[in-house]
Formats: sequence, structure tokens, C-alpha cells
Amino acid sequence: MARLIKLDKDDTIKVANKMEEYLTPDYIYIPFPPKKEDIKKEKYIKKASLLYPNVYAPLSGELVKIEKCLLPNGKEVNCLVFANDFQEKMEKIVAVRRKINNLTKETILEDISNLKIKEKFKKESVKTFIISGIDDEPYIENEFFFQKERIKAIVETLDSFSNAFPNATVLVAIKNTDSETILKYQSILGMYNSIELKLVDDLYLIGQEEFLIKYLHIKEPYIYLKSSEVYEIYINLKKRRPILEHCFTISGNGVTKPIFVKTKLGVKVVDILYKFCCEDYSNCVLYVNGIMQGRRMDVSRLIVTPELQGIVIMKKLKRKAKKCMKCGKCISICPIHSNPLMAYKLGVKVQCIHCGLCSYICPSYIPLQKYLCGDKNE
Amino acid sequence: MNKLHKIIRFSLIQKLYGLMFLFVIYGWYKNAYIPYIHHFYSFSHLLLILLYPLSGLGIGSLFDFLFPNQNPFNNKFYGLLFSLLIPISTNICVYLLFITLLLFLNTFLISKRDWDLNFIAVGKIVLIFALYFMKSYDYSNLLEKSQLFVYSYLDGIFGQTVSGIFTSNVSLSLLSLLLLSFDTYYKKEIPFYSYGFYLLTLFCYAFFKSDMNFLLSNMFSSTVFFVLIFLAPLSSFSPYSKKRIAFYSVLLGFLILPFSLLTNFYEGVYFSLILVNSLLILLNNIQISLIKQKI
Repeated sequence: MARLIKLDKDDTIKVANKMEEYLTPDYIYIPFPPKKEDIKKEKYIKKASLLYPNVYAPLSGELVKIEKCLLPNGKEVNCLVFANDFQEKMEKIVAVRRKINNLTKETILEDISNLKIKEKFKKESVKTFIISGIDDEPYIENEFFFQKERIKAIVETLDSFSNAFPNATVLVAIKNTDSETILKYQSILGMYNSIELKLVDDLYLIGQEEFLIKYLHIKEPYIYLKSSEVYEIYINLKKRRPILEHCFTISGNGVTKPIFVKTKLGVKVVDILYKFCCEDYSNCVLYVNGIMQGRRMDVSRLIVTPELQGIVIMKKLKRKAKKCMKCGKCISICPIHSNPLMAYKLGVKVQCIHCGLCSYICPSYIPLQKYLCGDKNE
Repeated sequence: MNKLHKIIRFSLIQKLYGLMFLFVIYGWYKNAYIPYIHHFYSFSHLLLILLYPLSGLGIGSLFDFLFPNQNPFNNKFYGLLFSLLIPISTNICVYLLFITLLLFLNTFLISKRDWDLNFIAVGKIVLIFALYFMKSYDYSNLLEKSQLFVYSYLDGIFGQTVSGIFTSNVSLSLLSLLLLSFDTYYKKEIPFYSYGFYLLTLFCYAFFKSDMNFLLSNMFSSTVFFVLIFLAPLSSFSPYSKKRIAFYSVLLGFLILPFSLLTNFYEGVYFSLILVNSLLILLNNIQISLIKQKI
């Protein structure tokens, strides 16, 4: 297994301790579907109505215009802009809430057929479910919040897994530093014999599937899920409706009040920043999806999609990249044993998981990750 | 990345500067203060000897000021490092001329073309040749030349030995190695592997020749220690991949004794360093051209 390291974090940067809500935006921005024929011609949409495959309307309202927006991966897309009518007119949903602890494997698979994670359940003879409640990115604590706020829903879903897959064990992996979550699990797990709690060291990348599996010495067929994905399954199984909201973190030393926010999908991030963190960001750098694996972006046109994990706002530092001093630390720290210097010096494409450790360790402050991504001129 | 970079707050270069400063103090004590109190040198020598490191620093800083570059290992650093290695017999004017030329070459040729040539070692050898032809090649100060004092083996380890002007203290070198080993960016494998192999060859040679005195007298060579701890692991001149570091250090350690026997124990390690360094540059160039062909 690659030698993982503990990141040197700034302890003065705090993350939110309660969840904020922003569920009544004036406008929402829905990206165009990949296929043109999927574009609907109706101007009025109802909440929870299917817009395109796997995309549901987060609110009811009228189409007003088309605008170019940014996705968290930096891509620019055309979006349909809907004005909220604040009526919350719902598409009729026939299903009602139900108990989920006696569902069969087939029912679960059928009910999650509209989710992206359904592919994970196609594995045969699954012996272990691994649930990760670990946030790798510093200053982003999404999984932590899901474990903290939605622990009952998560455990109920895991119980249904253990009943539907009788030969499988369910392991919940959390960091051994998350004392609050550990205490909550200890108080609740007594009723669920099939669920096991696994405490892991506070190491960077330990939450990623590849590294967690190796850390836990899992060799038999498994299904790896994040806490947020388990909650998504819970909504589909229990409430039998699609997820219309999304949660993410806003933190960093550039914000005085860090938040964990629940909002509608398709909301502009800048609207949330104006509502909760009305501050001047001219002296700050905004990282979308974290300072290690994320990217620096102008968030004025960024919209909330399921891929958005968080916004980290850091104060600008007067630090210039120096010449490479050939210390070789970027090579020795790389968890997949790549050679980032090849990309930096020769422009050669090398294998990369975009963990950002090479940029983190570089004493000359060279943004090696950019060279590895191929956007060195960004 | 804000405090995420806390681990390099106290940089390797700052540590190296601090340690070199200690070497300067000890070199001044050994080569100026002790001979002065025994009336071998005049008072002016107490100040003159400090001109070497100070002028190295000064000329280096001037080059850095006039031709700024982004390299953390700058001319100021190299100027100071070079001044520690020279023999005490070096004429100050020759030294000033030489270091100016060396730093000029580094600024306009070596660092601009991104060569990994260890120009400090090359410069030292060229200076030695120059001194040899000028008939002023000598590492001993007047006190050592007089042979009035007989030092013990332990005295030698604690610095009373003939070596470069500011590099004679083995115990200080070992202390430096200990301190630098805890630095993330110091290539500690190089001094450890090299010294290990140097010791191995020394053992074999002494065993073969049945000369344990030779082994003991060269085991703690202050020049070898200083070069292996300060000069050989410098990032700019040493490889960065694990395999190459192993190759570099093993070969370096292995070649010290043959070169020292061919020349002497003050310069053998430099010859070995230059050869291994050149070999790696060659290997690197071959690899780069192969990669470029593939692209």
C-alpha cells in the first residue's frame, strides 16, 4: 500500500457546526442535457417532474431564458433558467413512505435504478458493504455532516442492505478523530448486529475507495459507498422520490462564518455566498471542491450540481513559484508512484489521480497539479 | 495553501546556512585564534581569514542582486559553501578572482542551461591545480606545519586536523547530519549510503594491506564527511529518484578510496563526486532524448 500522510492543516480554520438552508432561490439553472432531443418544450415545470433522464426539477416555475454557466469541473455549459414561482407545485408522486428493513435485493435494485450508483450494485456475490464517512479534503466536511445529521437514516438503510444481502457484512469507516460520530454510532449500533464500525487513521486519501480497501484489507467482492450516497439511496427507498437538494461546505480562512448548506440543485453559488457570507473576497482565492483536489475558479457563474463538494475561500498569499530545486519529494510522496517532474519538465503525460500532494509538498511552490492536468497555462 | 505548508517553514537552506556559520566559527578558532595566541600569526590574520566566507557571501549576493533568479540555491549560498572548502594557503586575491569567475560561469552558463554539473567540486579541483602550479598548495596552517603540538585521535575528530579552511570538524559534520536528517527535503540517503560504501572499501583495503592504522586515520576524514554531508546531497547536483540516489551514493562511496589513493585524501572525494555527477548527467540526457523520441 502507498504510504499515506497526514496533512498539516491550519487548526484555526473552523468548519460549520450546524446546517443552513437555502431552499427558496429566485432562479435555478438546469444544464442542457447531453442529447438535444431530450430538451423539453414546456415552459412551466412542476417540482420533482422529470426534465431529462435522471434530472428532476427542484422547484416549480417558468422558463425565462438560457444562460451560460460553469460546472464544478470548470466546463462551461448552456443552462435553462427557471424563475421560481414559490408555489412548490409538485408532480404527483404515487408512492408513499414505507418501511425499508424488509426489502428484497430486487426491490432495492429496482428502486435505485434511476441513480448513478446503481452500477455499483451490479457486482455479484457481494460479501462486504464499505461505507465511507471520511472527508479527505481539508476544510470540507460533507461526509462528517451526513454522519452527524442523518445517522438514523444511514443506519436504517444499512440495515436494509444487511437484510437484502444476508451473506454480506456492513462496515462503516470513520476517522478515529471524529469523536462525535463515534459516540453516536456507539449509542445506536447496539440494535444493529450486522453493522460494524471501523476506525481509521486521519490520513489524506484514506477515504478514497482504492486506499480504504487496502487499509481495511478487504479482498472479497465489496460495494463501496459514501455516506452521502447511502442517504441518496435512503431517500429513494424510503420516501421514493428523487433528491432535489444538495449539501456542501463553504469554509476557509477567508470566511468569518463557515457554513454547511443545504440548497436546491441548480442554484448559483454566488447567491448562497451573498446570503450567508456577505464579505469582500477581492483578497481571497476561491477553490471549488477543495484546495487539494479542487480548482481555482471564478464562482460568479458556478451552479450547484451533485458534483459540488464545497467552496474553500482562502486569503491570498504573496508567494511566487520558484525554480525547481530537484528535491524529488513530489515523486516520493505520490501515492501511485508517478513522476510529476516528467510532466513539469518534459510535458509528458503521466498517470495521475489529481490528489494534489505533489503541489502540497513542493518547497518551490510549483503548481505541479496544473501541469499534470494539462492546464499549466490556466 | 496557507499553513498546509507548515512543514517547510524552517527551510533546508536556512538550516544549511546556520550550520555553515558554525563551521566558519570553528574554522576561525582553529586556523586563526589558536595560531594567533601561540604567536604564529599576527592580529590581522584574525580578520583576514573571515574575508574568505564574507567575500564569498558578498560576491554571491552581488550576483544575485544584479542577475536575480528563482533558484532557492543561489550564488550567495554557493559563494559561502565554496569559501569553506579552499586550502588555507589560498591567496585572497586569487580566491576573489576565482570565486568571481566561478559565480559568473554559474550565472550565465550552468544555471541558465539547467545543467546539473557540480561546479563547486569542479571549481575546487581547478583551484587546487592552480595552487599547485603556483606552488602554494598547502592545507596546514603555520601551527600545524611547525608540528609543535601532537594531537590525539580524538582531537582530530573534534576538529584539530588538516583539512579545508573551515571544514575540519568531524563532530560538527556529524551533528549537522543528525540535524539535517530530520529535514523532509534533505537527501539523507546520500551521505549514509556513500559513507557506508566508503567504509567498506576502506575496511577491505586495510584488511588486504594489513594496515589498521590506515583504516583508523582515514575513517573519520573531515573532508570526506563535509563533502558527503554538504556538497553531495545538494538538490541541484544530485538525482531525485530513489534508484538513481542509490546508484549515485553507492558509486560515490565506492570511488572515494581509489581516487584518494591515486591523488590524496583531500581531493579524492571531489574527483569521485565529479565523475559520478558527470555519469548521471549523461544518463539523464540519454533518458530525456529517449523520452523525446517517444513523444
